[in-house]
Amino acid sequence: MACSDSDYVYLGKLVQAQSANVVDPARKTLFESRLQPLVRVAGAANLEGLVGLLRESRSAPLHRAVAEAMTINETSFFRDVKPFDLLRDEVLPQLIEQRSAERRLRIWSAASSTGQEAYSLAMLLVEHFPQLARWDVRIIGTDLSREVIEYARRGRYRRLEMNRGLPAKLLVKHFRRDEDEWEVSEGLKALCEFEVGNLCVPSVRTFAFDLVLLRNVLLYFSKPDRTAVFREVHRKLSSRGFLVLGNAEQAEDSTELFRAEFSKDCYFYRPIFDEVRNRI
Amino acid sequence: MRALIVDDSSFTRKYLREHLARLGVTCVEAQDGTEALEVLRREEEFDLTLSDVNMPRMDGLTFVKSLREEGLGPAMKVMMITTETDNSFITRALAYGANEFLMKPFTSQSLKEKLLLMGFAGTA
Ligand SMILES: C[S@@+](CC[C@H](N)C(=O)[O-])C[C@H]1O[C@@H](n2cnc3c(N)ncnc32)[C@H](O)[C@@H]1O
Repeated sequence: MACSDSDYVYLGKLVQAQSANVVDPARKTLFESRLQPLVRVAGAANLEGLVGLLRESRSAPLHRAVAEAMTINETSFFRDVKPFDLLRDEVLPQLIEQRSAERRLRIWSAASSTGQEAYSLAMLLVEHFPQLARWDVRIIGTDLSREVIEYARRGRYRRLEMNRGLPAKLLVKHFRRDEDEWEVSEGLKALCEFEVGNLCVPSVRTFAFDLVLLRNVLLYFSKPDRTAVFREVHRKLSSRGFLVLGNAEQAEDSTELFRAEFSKDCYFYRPIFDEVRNRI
Repeated sequence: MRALIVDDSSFTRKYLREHLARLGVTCVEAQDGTEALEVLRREEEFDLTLSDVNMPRMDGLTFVKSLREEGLGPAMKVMMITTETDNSFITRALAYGANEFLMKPFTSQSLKEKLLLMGFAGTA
């Protein structure tokens, strides 16, 4: 027997409660294909069986696993190119100037997926800002999915991933080929760390990040959830920090905590403090 | 935008031509390095050359080296598309004057992203 419509509605709600991702219950084949591996792991006969298990158990790991399995992890090196030109030409020079006394930079690749964004940032720093070699620089990638975080930590990429967005001269400089995989250099790995984290669960971490990349994740969220995430990012961003969103994303429709700026053919955001903050 | 496709496989040439056509790129084809050099000597107006490596008569590395030495289309970008994936090979191709490199097999998405990297913004 197949799942009923209400089973898909239930799955959609579960995913949204766990990860804020809105998945239309009408996308039945998407649920089916993504959750198939979990059906087996959970020992269910089919998707309907899995839904049964989910409904009757409060087993947090199983509920989480469903949300993780439904994430879209699409990413690539130097995705969209332009934001990285913006970082190189405008944002990083300003941050380096601002932080020249402490010589410390904290960068957050939020919803990092398999790590290409964080390693692209690391390459950008190494290639264009050699002075940072003597600074305390950390690029922190976080993602809801444990699987992608482990992948990012390993730092080994396949041909399909290496083909995507990575300039040839950076490939030969920062990757070592091993059979049919390429491994990120130790130098880049040393700049990056990855940890599991849910954007919707406020973390106790007290870093003041100088730069946050929050790209291609909020487009899957509802407006109230986007608002909540912006509030959390605002809290974690240093007062003179920068926020970069994905190509198709904007902050204006769901928060008043950031103001948009435009440069190098690219939008980016600065946090607003004081009077606005008191209002919210 | 105009591109020169250099590959001895008619299948690959067709594949590339069709993908590029969808991005609004007009293509001219050549079967090997020798023919490609002749095309370039005749008409210099190409923005991009996409070249295979292992080809009869003249291979892709010799081709890129020759075209750069002859100064054919100095502003033209050259991308090697190949199954050769050793770092030493890529390094050599770059030293001879190639700008980018794409490994076979590739997807149309990765082709688009490489074009974007080489500064062909409208194509992505
Ligand atoms: C499409 S990828 C984007 C990756 C990268 N930022 C980029 O732009 O290329 C979206 C990522 O967001 C993660 N994600 C989805 N919901 C999340 C949440 N609530 N908390 C943290 N990460 C989440 C997914 O696991 C996925 O890896």
